[in-house]
Amino acid sequence: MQDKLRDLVIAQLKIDPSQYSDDLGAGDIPEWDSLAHMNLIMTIEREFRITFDVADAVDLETVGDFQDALKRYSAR
Amino acid sequence: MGGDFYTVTHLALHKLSDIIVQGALHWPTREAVADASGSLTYAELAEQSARVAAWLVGEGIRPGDRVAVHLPNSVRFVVAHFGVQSAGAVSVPLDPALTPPQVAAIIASAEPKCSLDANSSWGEIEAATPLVSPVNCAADDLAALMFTTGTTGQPKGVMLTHANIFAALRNIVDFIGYTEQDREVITLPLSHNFGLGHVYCNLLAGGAVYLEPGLARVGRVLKAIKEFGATGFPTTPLGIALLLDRYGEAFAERAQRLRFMVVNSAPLPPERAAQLQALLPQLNVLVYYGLTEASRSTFISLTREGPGRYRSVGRPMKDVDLQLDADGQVLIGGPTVTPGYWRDLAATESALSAGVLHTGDLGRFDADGYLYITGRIDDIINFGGYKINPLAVERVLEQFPGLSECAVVGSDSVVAYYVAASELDADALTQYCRGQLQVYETPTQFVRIDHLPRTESGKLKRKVLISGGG
Repeated sequence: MQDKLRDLVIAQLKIDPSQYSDDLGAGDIPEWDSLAHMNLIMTIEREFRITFDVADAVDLETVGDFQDALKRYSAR
Repeated sequence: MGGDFYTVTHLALHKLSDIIVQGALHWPTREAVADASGSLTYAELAEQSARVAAWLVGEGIRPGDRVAVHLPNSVRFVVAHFGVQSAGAVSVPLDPALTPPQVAAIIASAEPKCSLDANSSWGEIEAATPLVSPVNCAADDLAALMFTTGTTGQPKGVMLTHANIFAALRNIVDFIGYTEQDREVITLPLSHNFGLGHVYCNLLAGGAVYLEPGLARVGRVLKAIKEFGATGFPTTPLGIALLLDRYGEAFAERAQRLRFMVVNSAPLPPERAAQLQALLPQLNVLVYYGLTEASRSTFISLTREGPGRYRSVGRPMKDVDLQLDADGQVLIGGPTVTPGYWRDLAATESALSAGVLHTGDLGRFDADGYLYITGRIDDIINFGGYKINPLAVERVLEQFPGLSECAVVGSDSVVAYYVAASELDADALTQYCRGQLQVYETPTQFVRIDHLPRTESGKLKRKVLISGGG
């Protein structure tokens, strides 16, 4: 799951792999703007076959947040 | 309402630093500006700005000197900007999203004597003895240089005088009806007139602003809207799409105190306006037409006018002389219009004639004098409110090894059609563009074609590409 998320984030944001970290978040780099954020959420939902609740989606800010949310959703 | 505000300010204020001086006198203990790390009252804002001003003067800054303000949306940005104003200098706000080459080009043009940014000596600045009173300047003196990409791809500094800005602010404050009770959450970059104008309006009226560097961390923005008790929220059609499509339920729940939203930068699709109005029936949805060169020239309340005018951008503001030329181009005259572009006589002469701005936008009026924007006379792409000059993008792309020629078009997305002996790596093209252009300028799609469609005389037929031909 971690590797898949990593690949998706790097591909979706078109960033160098060295920029990827758990702390990287929306707004931290020009590539991760509001539009990219929305596209990233949709891509992750599609690839992991989940739908984030609105209450959870608003709290998704960093790679770490996505990791935590994916763990919770995969345990459901 | 606006009338009370006018009795306080209309006659007295003539320079931007007067805004915070007035605030410190009338509302010293009221909250003025806030961000995630804290807030300042009007008295604190005036004092901190006076410290910045004192430090700048100590550094040798004199009236008319340019000072770059290169900071994200934050309390510090507002302190720095008004510090520059209090020193009698000219602010040059720089978007944190600019690439190093773009910053370098602006610095080369503006020649600021100093930059206030994350690396400035803030400890020293905040310890400076505040300037006793702001350095005086005339209403017609320059207050700010607002840089835009420009039609040639080279940055153009729009010169705005104190008088230009105040002429616009009085109209905006009056139309929206700002009061001391207003509180706005601002995610729009303060390096652009749209966002910065909302800071001015609130501080003029005794309201407060909460600053967030963009909409990307939408959870924080929604939290701020609720906890700050936002009564206003300026945004773009893209911002509205994001909020409604993904977070509509959370937005509606947290925006209960919201009384108005101002939408600009790109046309607001009527279906979006209707969707927003249905979600928040109490909301006053406002749209305006404005360029950096002339600020807000028209305004409309879509709520008041109803769906029949959802495509209009409204009627001209007070003292704005807005007309159409024989080709239907929108011409703007009046006190809000820039005196020109910084050290760019050719661009000034091209855009301004006897003080009248030739906007490049095409429009039409209805029988009641409401303006509708119908298109552009040039090839500028409006992507979610960002103006993209295709020539600038093409110039960068043409330097890419193996690419012989290209054409950039778009609206919903930016597409680069290129001619090359073989398929080029799209990721490599993306990275190459991002090194020299802003993210939004970087094409989202690269399409290789055999040849660019051209007229017999060799002129590029962009419309063929826009319609999907190639």
